[in-house]
Amino acid sequence: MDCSEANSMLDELALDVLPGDQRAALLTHVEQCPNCRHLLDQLSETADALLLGGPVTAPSAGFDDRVLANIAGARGRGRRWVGRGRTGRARSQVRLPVPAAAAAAVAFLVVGGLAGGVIGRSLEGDGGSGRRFRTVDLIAAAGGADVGDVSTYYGRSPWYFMQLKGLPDGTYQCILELDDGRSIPLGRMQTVGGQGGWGDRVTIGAGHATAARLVDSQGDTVATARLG
Amino acid sequence: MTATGSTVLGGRDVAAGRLGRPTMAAEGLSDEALLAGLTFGDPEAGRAFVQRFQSRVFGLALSILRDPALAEDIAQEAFLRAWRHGPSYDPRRGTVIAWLMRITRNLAIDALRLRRAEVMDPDVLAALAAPADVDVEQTALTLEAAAAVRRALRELPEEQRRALLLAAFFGRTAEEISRLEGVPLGTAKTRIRLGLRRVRAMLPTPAEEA
Repeated sequence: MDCSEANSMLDELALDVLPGDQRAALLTHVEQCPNCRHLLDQLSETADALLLGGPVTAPSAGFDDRVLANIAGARGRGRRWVGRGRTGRARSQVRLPVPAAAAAAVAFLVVGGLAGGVIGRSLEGDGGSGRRFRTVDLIAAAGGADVGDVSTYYGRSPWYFMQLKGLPDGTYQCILELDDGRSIPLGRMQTVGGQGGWGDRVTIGAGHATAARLVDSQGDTVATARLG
Repeated sequence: MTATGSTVLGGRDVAAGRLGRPTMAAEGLSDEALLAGLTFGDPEAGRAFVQRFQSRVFGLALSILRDPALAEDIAQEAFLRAWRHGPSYDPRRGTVIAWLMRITRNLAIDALRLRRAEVMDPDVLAALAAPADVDVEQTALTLEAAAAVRRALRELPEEQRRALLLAAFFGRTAEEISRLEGVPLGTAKTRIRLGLRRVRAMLPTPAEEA
């Protein structure tokens, strides 16, 4: 398949209506062709935008209660990791060499161990701040630019979520600084196209984490979010 | 631990807690952070996530299915899928809302096909391009983006708009559109291509939006 032939089918791929046999051949071409890949990404953005332009209608009262009850019921039966099915995107097949779900499983195993014993204390409450949710800017060490944010939740099941925007592509380590001087490595994330994110539960109470640092592969701190 | 992929959530299931109302702070979290909270089983973040997107999700399902009861079932399933698939969400593939809308659209199309329903009423397609009858609160940015899409659709020649909407909302292939519209396959493919690219040209670029 050449670019001319690919070009005639990219729109249908972006709209997820290309028949399977043509889809496979086109994806093979797109994987090897940066120009077609770039155009596919642009067209996929437009296809997404079309759906956002659709009608907006409030569901019946109590919809959110029913959703959360369904999720609670499903959680009780155990999360089922099902295949992508129709939710898969053409772009992801081109650009993600490693299934993200597999990476998530790795993160789960390691951080699960961390939560179980490394930090070693689980404190409840909001540390007197009165705020259980917080979002703090992640500030670059060089230049002071805002390069993402860290969201934290201190409740019965505390969690952290770090989101990067605009950092050079590479692998970064998240490190949590505690008020007793300890530095807890939480995990690594890889940025592609300047973006990346990482999150998990940790068993540490509010007020004990003073900062979240992002360290590059050389061990240098490239950004910090002040949590304390 | 190496998280190869973009957003990695390593949440474990926890016992279902009280499904309390979201705090103001939860409502202020980013879409990605709320998705993380939903995935981690945090009821406040989960509720805020649902409330933030429920009208868009239900509205899309309803526009495709034209059946409020079925549309609500599909919307419910979409949020359940979001919870299940949250750990594999990757922002490089699109925003959280775009990801959620794609899930909803695909579920609705599958339901439509199961019913062998033909929702090709010209009025339905026209409504998708008409000015929005907004009955819920939205952010100004969301309203502006939706309005831009509708303006762009109205600028298209009718045959291109129909082909594009049949593909985008109803999952119709070029071959199906060819049959529905009574035109050659090549013509259907051209209408889809020209329609999507013209809309793209009319929408503001990310730099312009910034």
